[in-house]
Amino acid sequence: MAKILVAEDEPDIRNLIAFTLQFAHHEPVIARDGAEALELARNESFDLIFLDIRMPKITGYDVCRALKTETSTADTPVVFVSAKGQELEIEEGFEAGAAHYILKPFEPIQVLQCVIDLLGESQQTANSAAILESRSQLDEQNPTPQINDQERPADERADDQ
Amino acid sequence: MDLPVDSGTVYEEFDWSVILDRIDKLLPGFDLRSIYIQNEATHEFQMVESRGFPNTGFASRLGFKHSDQIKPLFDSGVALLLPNVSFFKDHPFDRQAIHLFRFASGGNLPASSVFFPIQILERHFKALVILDRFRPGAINPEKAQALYHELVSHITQLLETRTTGQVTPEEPLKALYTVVSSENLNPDPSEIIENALNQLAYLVAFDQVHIWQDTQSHPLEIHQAGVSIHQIHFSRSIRSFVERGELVEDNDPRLPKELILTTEPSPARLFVPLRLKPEMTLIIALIRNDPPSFTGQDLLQANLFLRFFHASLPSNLHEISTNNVQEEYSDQSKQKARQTAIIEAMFDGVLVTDSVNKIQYLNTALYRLTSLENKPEKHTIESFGSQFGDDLDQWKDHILTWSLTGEFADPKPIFSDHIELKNGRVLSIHLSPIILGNEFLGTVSIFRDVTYEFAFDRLKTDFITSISHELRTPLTSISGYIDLLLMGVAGSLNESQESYMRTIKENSFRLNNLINDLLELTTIESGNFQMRVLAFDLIAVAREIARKIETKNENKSKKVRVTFDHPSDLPLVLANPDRSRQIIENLINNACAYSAEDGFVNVSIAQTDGFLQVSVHNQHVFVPPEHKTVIFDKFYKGDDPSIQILQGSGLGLPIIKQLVELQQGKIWVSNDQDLPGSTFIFTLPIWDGTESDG
Repeated sequence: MAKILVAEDEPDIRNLIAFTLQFAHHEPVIARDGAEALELARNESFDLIFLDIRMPKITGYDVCRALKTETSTADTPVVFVSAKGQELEIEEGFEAGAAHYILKPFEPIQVLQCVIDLLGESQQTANSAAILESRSQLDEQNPTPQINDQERPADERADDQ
Repeated sequence: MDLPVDSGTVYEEFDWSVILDRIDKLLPGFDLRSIYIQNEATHEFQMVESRGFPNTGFASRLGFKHSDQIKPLFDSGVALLLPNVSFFKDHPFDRQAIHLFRFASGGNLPASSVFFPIQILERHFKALVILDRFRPGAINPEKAQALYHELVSHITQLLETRTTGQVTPEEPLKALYTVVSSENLNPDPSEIIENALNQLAYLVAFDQVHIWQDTQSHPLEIHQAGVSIHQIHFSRSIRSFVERGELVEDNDPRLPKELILTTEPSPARLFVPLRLKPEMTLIIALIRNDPPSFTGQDLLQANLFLRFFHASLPSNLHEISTNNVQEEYSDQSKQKARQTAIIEAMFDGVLVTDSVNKIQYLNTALYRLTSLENKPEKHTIESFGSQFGDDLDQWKDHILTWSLTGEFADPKPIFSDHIELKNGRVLSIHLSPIILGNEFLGTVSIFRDVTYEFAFDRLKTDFITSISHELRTPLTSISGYIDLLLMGVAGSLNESQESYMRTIKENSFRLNNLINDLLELTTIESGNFQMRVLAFDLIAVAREIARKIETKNENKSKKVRVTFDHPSDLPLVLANPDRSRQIIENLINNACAYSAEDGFVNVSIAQTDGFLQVSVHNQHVFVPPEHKTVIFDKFYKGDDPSIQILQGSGLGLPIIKQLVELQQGKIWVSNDQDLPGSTFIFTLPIWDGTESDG
């Protein structure tokens, strides 16, 4: 189980991530804007931070850059969640110190996979394993039309791999 | 122009009318006067000159076919006088000739005749001068004999002059011809006249000369020279000659062709018309006081001169005379004024450089568009370009390259670029070389104000970009919460619920793809899209993709295999690996989607000139020829409904077309008549071995 900060100004998206993490038995903590996220991250210790890029008050980029300069938070992996999908913007995210990048729209399973990728197999809870398992079964029964997959930009597909 | 040479036809060149003049003067009263000369080749006697025949056309056809009949006449060596002839008996004409004679003479046959057989043995020359009257009458034998002698001596002299070259006209005429010809480029009428007078003086002795210029109202005397100048007035006949621009025949006896010889006693005058051009004739009057007459030889020489003079006049004299040169010059000025007005009236900026890269011309529009402050004439391409930072460096380099290397030849290159100025304007530049033959004359650049086009294009890009971003957030919620439901986060679903949820999810997926593609295409089209290229093994990438797709297909009902066909040692390509992967994946996936169950897709890779060519062949879907181009258009939908079901966003092919072209490749569709299905082919450039920035 991991303690994870979720900073996102859109309530629906914020809740979606939070529900997913909760369902996988993680402990999500919510921030509604950049300033709140920065304050929470400084006061509490998190295993992982999900940051929206376009947030009121302080952008995700700036939050990330600030966290990376402070010793207490510098090692906490940051994952950007954003609709911005262009190469240069992803690059800026990584330059700001992001460990990963999730593009909207995303599947909840990507969030869970991300946690496992960054925090290791130990963070795979019984539930997330079940979800991942069920997901692969679903894929077999009703595969995503391949034409959809191939239309996705290379950058996004790179994230899948 | 050929100068005349002595030949069998030389006698026709002579002015025989001089002889007839003498006849009319010394032995008047004959109705028909004609001269026949024996053709050396055929021995026939042909009429060369005649007077008195009303039908001159037929008269010229009169001739003796049987020279034998008049042989005794020549043998006698004396003039034959026939005061009363019985035509059939005494005339040596054949019946045909008599018929023609009767016709030519207006139905008359001669009643009295004189025959002068003129024979110059050493020249094999035979001429017959025949005088006829329609009434019988006595002929003065002394006068006839005197005339006969004069004619013989005259013709002998003519032949001498003509053939011995004692007073040969060729040399001075040649000189004149040279002078006149050399005046082609810079004709000066006064020089031509001076030369003409020099030649005339050489050929014909005279004491004075007067020259008139023909004008519309009256002749204008423009030159006179010589000793004891007589006032010469134009007689009516001369005036009419000037007015008609041709011969005058109102003097009696008849004036020789092209020459006007006054019959007034003293001084003798010879009028020589010089037609410089149709509307400009000069009349040269030669005056001789002593002796107060011009001989036949003088006339002959003057006539020869005249012919040569006219023949050797430059044919384009009237086009390049001083006046016309001025007109031509003013035409050029007009043309230039017109061109300048056109260029100045253009809304686009125009800049012209010369062969040494100096700015030759810069129109007001460019001055205005670029808000230039310096005088445009003072600019070199460097000083002009430097006002725009390094924006015009490429433009400058192109001009320098063309002027130095001659790489402007074929095909005619056009350089295009756009620059954003400090004054906020965006200008598109089109540069093209000015070439004449193989010579580089400079360049012309057109600067067009595309500020608004740019703004609109940017607005479109911004709009699509932001709308795409805004659409993604709700879409994330829709698909995300469906996923949560499908995960069973809110409790388990029954079969129908799950099925409907999947339909919603698939469609949200599809909507997402559409947004992604739209965004990607917009980014590529905006021109801000940058790709890093590096050398890599395209075959490895293609095989990897094929393997991935085949693995995916294994779990499906439709098991399409991907086969490969390529030489083992293909070079690396210089391209973006991710984008190349995207292109190949798109084509193989499409081909798989369009293949029958258990079908196969063949990927063949081959090397062409500087490129690797990848052909992806599917066995199932035929692309109609009329769709081969539009298939790469946005939102293209085929006619086949079964294929439309498989359609994605309708932007996949437009995107990969852009991606291929951005990497200097090409993409097209080919239908092989022998194979079912269709082939999508694209090319990527081969790595040339140099370091790339990748």
